Amino acid sequence: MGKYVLKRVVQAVVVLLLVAALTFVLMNLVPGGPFLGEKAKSPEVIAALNAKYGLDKPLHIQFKNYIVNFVQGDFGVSLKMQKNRPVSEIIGELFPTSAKVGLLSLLFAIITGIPMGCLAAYFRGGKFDSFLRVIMTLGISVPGFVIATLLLILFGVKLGWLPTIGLNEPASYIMPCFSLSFYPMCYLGRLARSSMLDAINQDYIRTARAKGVKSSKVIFKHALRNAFIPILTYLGPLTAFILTGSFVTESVFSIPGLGRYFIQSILNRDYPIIMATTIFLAALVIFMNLVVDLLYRFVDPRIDITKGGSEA
Amino acid sequence: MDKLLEIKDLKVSFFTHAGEVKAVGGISYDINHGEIMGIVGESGSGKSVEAYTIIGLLQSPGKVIGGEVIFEGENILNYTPEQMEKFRGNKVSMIFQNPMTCLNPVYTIGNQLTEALLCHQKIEKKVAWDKAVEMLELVGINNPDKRMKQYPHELSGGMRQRVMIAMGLVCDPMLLIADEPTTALDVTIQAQILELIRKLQKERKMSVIFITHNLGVVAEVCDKVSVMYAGKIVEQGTVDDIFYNPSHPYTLGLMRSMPRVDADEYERLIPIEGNPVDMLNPPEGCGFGARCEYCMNICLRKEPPTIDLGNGHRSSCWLLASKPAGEANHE
Repeated sequence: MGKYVLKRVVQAVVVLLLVAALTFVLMNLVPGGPFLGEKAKSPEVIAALNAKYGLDKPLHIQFKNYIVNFVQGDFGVSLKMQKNRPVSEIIGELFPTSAKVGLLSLLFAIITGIPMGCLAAYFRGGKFDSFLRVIMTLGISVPGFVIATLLLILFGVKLGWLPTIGLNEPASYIMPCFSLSFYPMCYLGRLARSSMLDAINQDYIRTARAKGVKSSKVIFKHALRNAFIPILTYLGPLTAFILTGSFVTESVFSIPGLGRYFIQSILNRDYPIIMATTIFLAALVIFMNLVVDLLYRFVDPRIDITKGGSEA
Repeated sequence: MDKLLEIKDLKVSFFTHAGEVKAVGGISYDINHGEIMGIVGESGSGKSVEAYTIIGLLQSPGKVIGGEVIFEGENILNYTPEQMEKFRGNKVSMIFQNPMTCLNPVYTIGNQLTEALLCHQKIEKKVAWDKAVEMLELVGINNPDKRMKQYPHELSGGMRQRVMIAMGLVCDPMLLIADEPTTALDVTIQAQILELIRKLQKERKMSVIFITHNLGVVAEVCDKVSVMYAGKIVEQGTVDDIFYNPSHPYTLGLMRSMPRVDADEYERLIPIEGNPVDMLNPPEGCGFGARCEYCMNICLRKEPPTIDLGNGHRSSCWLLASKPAGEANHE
């Protein structure tokens, strides 16, 4: 186990280095730069700024410097958006906000989506199943900004029940969390439904029923655990993405989160922020995938990833 | 001996998109306490469907459309789903064909065994665990304490079938339905499992319905036999009736197509010609008519009557209808 985790960590470092390199190159290929603004600066000023932040050096030297600093824990300072403020401080301030909204949304998506899929599978072919399927299809096909805007208009403006901006009171979490969780909820529901249907038709379900196990227990004990592997696979990256925040949701509801800031940093060519957020997100995705791989074993005892193969 | 289970004119149909499939078309038989009844027939003859009906595992689009299943004087077809849950696994239990897929891969043997007990008896987990260990020992599994904590994939096929049997018997049912329990096992294990079922049946004075398409197994294990063809019982009687005095042409055909140890070295097996009945469009008259070498005009027009040949030996064939009971030998 320990050896396996170590191997994965080494792999992760390589992947992160590649992610960093790719982002660095792409970022510099895009025209423009952090010091171009509405107010035109003279070429001399820009040259001086470039020299100050080391942007005048060749790209590979810049990258080398960045990595060397990064390893030492220095992620650079913001070049434009919050000038000269350390990037680590900015992320440290914004990530908790996104993570709080994300975590709530994630929990909501899990506790509604999975039972929804199970119910649809249980009532397969019936009216209730059709109803749930319509909702789930709607959820994965309607873009997030539409949902967010509709919610905003209905509950925020027309009915005036919920606050529309920021996260100043508990009620402010309702709309952002719902709009953020709607897609994963429906996706999880569809995933749960199809893998449950798969599991329900297995021989061991018949055995459980033959034993006289209650049908609810057959579904939630015997079938769900077997159906859980694909759900778990999706939950890994989902957690990473949902915790780092969504540009759409954070923009619509004016939430000062990482998701919105990330997109803004790209628009502003604030290089250190782009780099740090990308690496942070990539690391989180890799970490969550590792967690998921380690969790498989607890869901299905036949899977033993540390041995490099599984017996069916 | 008094009757444990009585099936009266049971009819089960599957309502598919292509039309109604009469999987079981009116069968009747009864089983006494402590009796082993063999049900033989080829694939698709309705033997498993009939068994699923008894234990209430029939699933949509399958539906009982007529008849009664009377267990200890009560028609279980009238049971509510809750009553059925209490009945299944408690009074009647079932073991299945493929032990490799019949155990839930993500729970330990112990968990699955005790679950059966905890479903039906108000006992503590610890007590259930001890009972399950005892049961595993009884079905011939060595090191039962260790096996209880293992997962199905850590056990061999024969062992898994023993676990299935243990699971079926742990609540001490009165009737065990064994749906081709040895088909997926290799021959040496088959013999062991058969012996085990036989032994446990004797010890517990339990009744068994043994579904198989292996006549050798039937001869070895059963007291009574029902031969099914196209959803109907074409002949039923004691093992001796069926093996020494078969009267239905289908039973005769089965006997001739079975290899025998005492046969001459070069004796050929005689297969039954033709194909099984298309259950979506069953023929008029006798289901076996088209394949029967003794087929007469009436066989293709009218369903044959069930003729009592004495002592519970019954056969549904027009050939016998003209003869008086007891003279049904036409070899």
